[in-house]
Amino acid sequence: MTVQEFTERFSRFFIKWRGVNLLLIGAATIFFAYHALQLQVFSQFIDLLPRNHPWIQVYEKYNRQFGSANVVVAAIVAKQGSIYDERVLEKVFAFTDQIDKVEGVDHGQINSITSITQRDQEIDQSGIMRSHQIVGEAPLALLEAQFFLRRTLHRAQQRGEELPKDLAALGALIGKRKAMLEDELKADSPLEKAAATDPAKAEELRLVQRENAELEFLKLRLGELPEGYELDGERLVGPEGTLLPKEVVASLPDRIHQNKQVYGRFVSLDDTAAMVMAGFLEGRLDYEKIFHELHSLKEELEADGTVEVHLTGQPVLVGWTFFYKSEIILIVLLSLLTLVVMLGIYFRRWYGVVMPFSGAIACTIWGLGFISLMGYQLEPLVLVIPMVITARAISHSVQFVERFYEEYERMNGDKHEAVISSMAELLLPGFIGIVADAIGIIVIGVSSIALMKKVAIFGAFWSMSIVVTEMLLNRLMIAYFPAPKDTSHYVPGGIMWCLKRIAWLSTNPTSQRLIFGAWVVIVVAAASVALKVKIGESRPGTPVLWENSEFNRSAKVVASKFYGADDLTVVVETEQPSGVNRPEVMHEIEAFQRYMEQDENVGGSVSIVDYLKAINRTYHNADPRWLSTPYSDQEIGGLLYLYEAGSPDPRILNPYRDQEAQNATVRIFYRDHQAGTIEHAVKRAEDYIFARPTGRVAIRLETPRHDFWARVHWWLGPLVPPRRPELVVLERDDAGKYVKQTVAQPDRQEPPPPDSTEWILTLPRTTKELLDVLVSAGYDNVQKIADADLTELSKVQGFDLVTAYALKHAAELDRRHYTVESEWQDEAAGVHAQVRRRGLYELPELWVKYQGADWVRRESGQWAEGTSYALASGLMGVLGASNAEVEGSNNATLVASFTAIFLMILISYRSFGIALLLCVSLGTATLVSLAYMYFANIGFDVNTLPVQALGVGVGVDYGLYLMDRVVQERRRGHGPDDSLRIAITTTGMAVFFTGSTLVGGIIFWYFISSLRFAADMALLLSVVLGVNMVGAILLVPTFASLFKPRFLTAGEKAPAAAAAPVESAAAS
Amino acid sequence: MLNALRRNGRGPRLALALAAFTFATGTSAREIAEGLDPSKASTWQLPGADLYGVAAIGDSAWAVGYWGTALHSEDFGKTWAPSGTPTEATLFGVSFADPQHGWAVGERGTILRSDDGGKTWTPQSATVADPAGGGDRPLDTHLFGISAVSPSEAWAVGDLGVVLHTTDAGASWVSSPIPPESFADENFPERILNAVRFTDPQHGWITGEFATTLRTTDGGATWVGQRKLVDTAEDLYLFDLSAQTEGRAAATGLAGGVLLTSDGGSTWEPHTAPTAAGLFGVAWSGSNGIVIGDRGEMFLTLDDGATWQRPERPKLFNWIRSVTFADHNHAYAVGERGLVLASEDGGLHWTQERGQTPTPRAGVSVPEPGRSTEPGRKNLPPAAGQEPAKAP
Repeated sequence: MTVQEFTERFSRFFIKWRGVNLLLIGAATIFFAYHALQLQVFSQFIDLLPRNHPWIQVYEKYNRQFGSANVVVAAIVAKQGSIYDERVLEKVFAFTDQIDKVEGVDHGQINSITSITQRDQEIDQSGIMRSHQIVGEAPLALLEAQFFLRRTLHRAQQRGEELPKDLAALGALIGKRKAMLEDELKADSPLEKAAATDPAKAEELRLVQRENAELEFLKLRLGELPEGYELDGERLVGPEGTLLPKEVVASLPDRIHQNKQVYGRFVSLDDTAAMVMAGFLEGRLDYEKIFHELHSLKEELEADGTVEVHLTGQPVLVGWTFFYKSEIILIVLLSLLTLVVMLGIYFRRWYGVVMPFSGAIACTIWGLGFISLMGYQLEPLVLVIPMVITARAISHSVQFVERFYEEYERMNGDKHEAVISSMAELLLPGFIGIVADAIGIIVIGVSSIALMKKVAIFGAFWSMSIVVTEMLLNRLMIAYFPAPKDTSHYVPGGIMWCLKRIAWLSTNPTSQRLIFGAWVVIVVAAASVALKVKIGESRPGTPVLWENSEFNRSAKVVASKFYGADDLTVVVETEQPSGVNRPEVMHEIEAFQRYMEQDENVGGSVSIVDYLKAINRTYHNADPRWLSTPYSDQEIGGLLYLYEAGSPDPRILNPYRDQEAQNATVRIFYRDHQAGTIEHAVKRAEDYIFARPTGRVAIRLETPRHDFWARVHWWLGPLVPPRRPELVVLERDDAGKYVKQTVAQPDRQEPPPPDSTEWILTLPRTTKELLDVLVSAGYDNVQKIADADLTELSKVQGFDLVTAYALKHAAELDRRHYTVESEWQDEAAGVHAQVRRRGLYELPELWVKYQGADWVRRESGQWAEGTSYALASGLMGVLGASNAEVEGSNNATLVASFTAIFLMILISYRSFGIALLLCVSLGTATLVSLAYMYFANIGFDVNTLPVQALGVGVGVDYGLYLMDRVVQERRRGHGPDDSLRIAITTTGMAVFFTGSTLVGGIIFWYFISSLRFAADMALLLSVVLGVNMVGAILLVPTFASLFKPRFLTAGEKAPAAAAAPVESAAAS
Repeated sequence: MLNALRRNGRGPRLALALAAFTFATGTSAREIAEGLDPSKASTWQLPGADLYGVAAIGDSAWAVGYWGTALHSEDFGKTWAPSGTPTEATLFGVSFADPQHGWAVGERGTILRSDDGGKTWTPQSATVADPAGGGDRPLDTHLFGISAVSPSEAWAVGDLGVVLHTTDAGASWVSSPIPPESFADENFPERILNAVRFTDPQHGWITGEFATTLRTTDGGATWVGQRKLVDTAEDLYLFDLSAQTEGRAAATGLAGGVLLTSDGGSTWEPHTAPTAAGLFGVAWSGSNGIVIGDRGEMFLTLDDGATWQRPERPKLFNWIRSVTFADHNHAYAVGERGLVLASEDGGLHWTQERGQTPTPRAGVSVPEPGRSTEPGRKNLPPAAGQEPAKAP
């Protein structure tokens, strides 16, 4: 049975049983619709991280200890004068105080001049070190009173109450209001009861609780007011006529300028701005709410005109994308409306509008339903992808309707036969186009970035669903719909005129050569820049929003006022507790800092050494010569302990050193996080680490970056197994020189190591806290986790399906036999190192056993006796890892897409020529789109890569339909060039319809979208669609006619037949 | 028990900010060192390194500081050339016997010697008796003060009561701790000794913690600590001392404390400078005296300490750690972030020759409310809504 026979029989069978089929499709659609209604739109930071990347493994190992990279950075800029003004200080206090109340904030990670984490220290009379807040505890209490007073009065004003004239009246007002609120807060109050079921009421209850707490604080603070304070309008004023004693404000600049932890970092050098930084958790957060709360706080603080509040940072950025969510939806609707109008104009038949649309809607329902069914979420920036898929669905539908009308006319109004014939003819090219496309999408899922995985899986499903929701459903609908009365096929005259000229051009020998020449020029030009498209962000601020958006303007203010808020965090690891306290380790940290600072992108750096030196100086009568590391580890440990003990929160040094003093951090602050800046920063760190081994032995895994295999990996990325890294071991000889050691390559199998509760800690991303949770849930060894039921495991506290899967997978890997690829051991030094691999596609791991301790997995791929550096956390590290992942998979996506498309066509048409021709057309479109990205300065990142990958396939069906038509026409007995001309004027018409309709539908995103990302992507897709359209109508036929592949000429006895008159062929 | 704690057991009340955050200055392009070799940290020349010590003879001057920084000038401090030192240890003190021969001392027993006016430096070492027994061990405590008496003879002092002496140009350094009975107080002798000054091979002074002021008149054979402190705490922490002759000297300490003696150290009279900041350095020439210290404090007296004035100088708040007179007119002061101040009129006017100084635009005083046009505000991006919308 030939393919033609099969498609014919299938179509007949399908239409015959149309009732059952419609029922089945309908049921499935209802099923997906049900799930689509439960779809959630949210975003989580963790989804953006490539979890297999060594840097992210380091980040995830330490982020609970050293802080998250999901940080809000706010600049509070004084509009007049400096921040040394009680009204400005009140705003800084208020922002710091209030951001702590936002849901999802990490309470230990809030920093500003009024946070308890930023302190001055002193030695008191009895020699005890005490630290105190920079602004001072008493002034802070006054600022707090003033801020809550202002809030209370504004609320009273809104309620229409008379404002109190003096403190006594204020007290009365507070008392009255509190009594009222407490009434509402009573157990069993109506509000309390309603809150249990109604989220709106629960929110109201939360606000009442908050107001009540604020009144309580205000009452307390008013009770503590020193003598002589009065109420003056909205202000509390002391005997000097100001809130804060003048002396306090006067001495503040001195204290700030002396405090190098603060000056430049939390207070701008020109004293006009203060910074508040707040870390947020990384799981699922309600960014809409966070954004709303931050923005209303901003408005509240800006109300009296003393300050401007600038908000930046990842959570704010995500908040903005949610802010524009409704706009995106509106634009999508507008696009659809445009599509309807354009389709109507083209077809002048209602099927032409109804078919593509009903299909698009069904397709959308299936896609959204699937996302929800899988427990995935939709994010605002991901919304572009459904739009692309819908566009593809419409394109397939238009082909069908156009062909149907053509056949309907040919068959003189026999609707039934017209449906079967058009369906049979389009089944093959349509199906191949869709499958090839789905393969192209699923390839991006090889990345370990959760968001890309999700997009790959649902994108592939969604694409595949077009087969059912568009191809099959359309046919069924037409079968049920009344037959069109008008059997004539509407042909727009103007377009036909153009297509006839194109047909002529592509079969005329002279123009063919001209077209070929022009193509060569374009391809060479595009190819010369196509590989230069940057990875990651290629400008300061965010490319997601416009240059002059509020977010990017704020980012500029922050960058210009402060030393930089984007940090590269390097973890310094030692072998045992208190290891960091060794003077030589402190010296290494200091040297590393000094080296990293010699870089113009760097604003500054901070580590435990800076604290240690400053504390040491304080202990030595402020003599700056004691800004040095103490002599011994006991002295260092003692000094740091005393500092911690003298602070209200003993975890004050936690961002810099862990409680056991085994690991420490070095944070280096950069002015921006452009891809180039990150690359340069990491390269410097690596150069340093490689060039300066410490201790007797230094070990690292090295993968050559510039050899042949590196090129292979650059192109194929995750498609090929990870490379075998070289185990580099440097050992210090007696002369103090480091000598590279010979390493054994045993390639021997080893059984899994003995299992125990402790051993769970060797699994990636497990921390001691997590271990406790797991043990209490009954998972007290690795085997149990490996055997766990996924759904059961995901119910463990703090887990979700993704986390559970990752942990279970890691446990399964751990219980497998592994191969020791390379090995090195030195009994005398007590060092044993192995490179272990657990599977062909698993990343090789470095394991080190040191002086009788148990084996330790080195996530960083490095180990050195004494001081090891683990790259790289902080925003720079996280983004850098993400860039590396994108760089590793973007070429692979292209290679895989093209290979899939090529093979699919080759197998189904058995024609090398067709496959090659279509890939040439597709390749041209891809090159031009890459060139466009280069010139438009759009980089590859987590957001743009899926769109680009999808874009490759967007035009594949155009050429496919056209070639299929040519083959069919050849089969009907037309000559090669005649067949081409017929295809151009018929299928080419449909291609032109879809192409221009889709471009028309999305091009104006560019002009109205508030998200630069959506605008960029719309233009990118328009370019791809446009080039593919020209490619299908002009390039493919021209090349076919020019090179005469076998499928075109086979069976043609006399080439002279091609000389048939153009007009007659086109008219047939 | 910690040394540091013991030392400060009865320390004065003192507020101090953390002072080592290493952010650079300004938003303007900052000086950075390129091409540092990570494996040779001792060769790094770090721009903006803190300076701790300064010395000058004629038109030559030397300054030393953080990460082995050593600078020398031969044009009265106008230009300063860095010299390579074989160490990454911080250098605290420098002293030259003549324009060619001198020493620098620093962290953990570091001693450097130069025979070419500070262009090149070679390391020297000292040993001390190991308190744990078992003979000598390399000295590893900080050396703070150095005084070159002649090209071949010098004295150095440091932490834990260390006193070193060489008479063979540093080929061997002899540890000669001061006997406990020589001190004028009951505190332990392993105290911080901050400065040593010899006016000639016979006459020298040492100063340090617990108001230590020791004097020798016999080339260091015996040290005398007996003295009368007028209206001054018994244990005033002293940072520096400037000796003019065998009889006249000035010492500076915490909280603006300045002590003067004109009777060879028997009686010390307080001449407090008007500041609460610690005064880290002092230099005297004739009746002119300059004291410098924390938060950029600098005071000048033209009448042997009777009255104090603030000399004219760039506004800054870096700490200043060391000051010296090259002659009666030329003086230098060095400090935080590579700061070098120079004066050509005996300290009345100072110019900044070098260093990264984060000058606060609002100054150390409170800005007047309503003053809106500060220099720094010009670069502010326009407020929201004011910026002309740029075409995307």
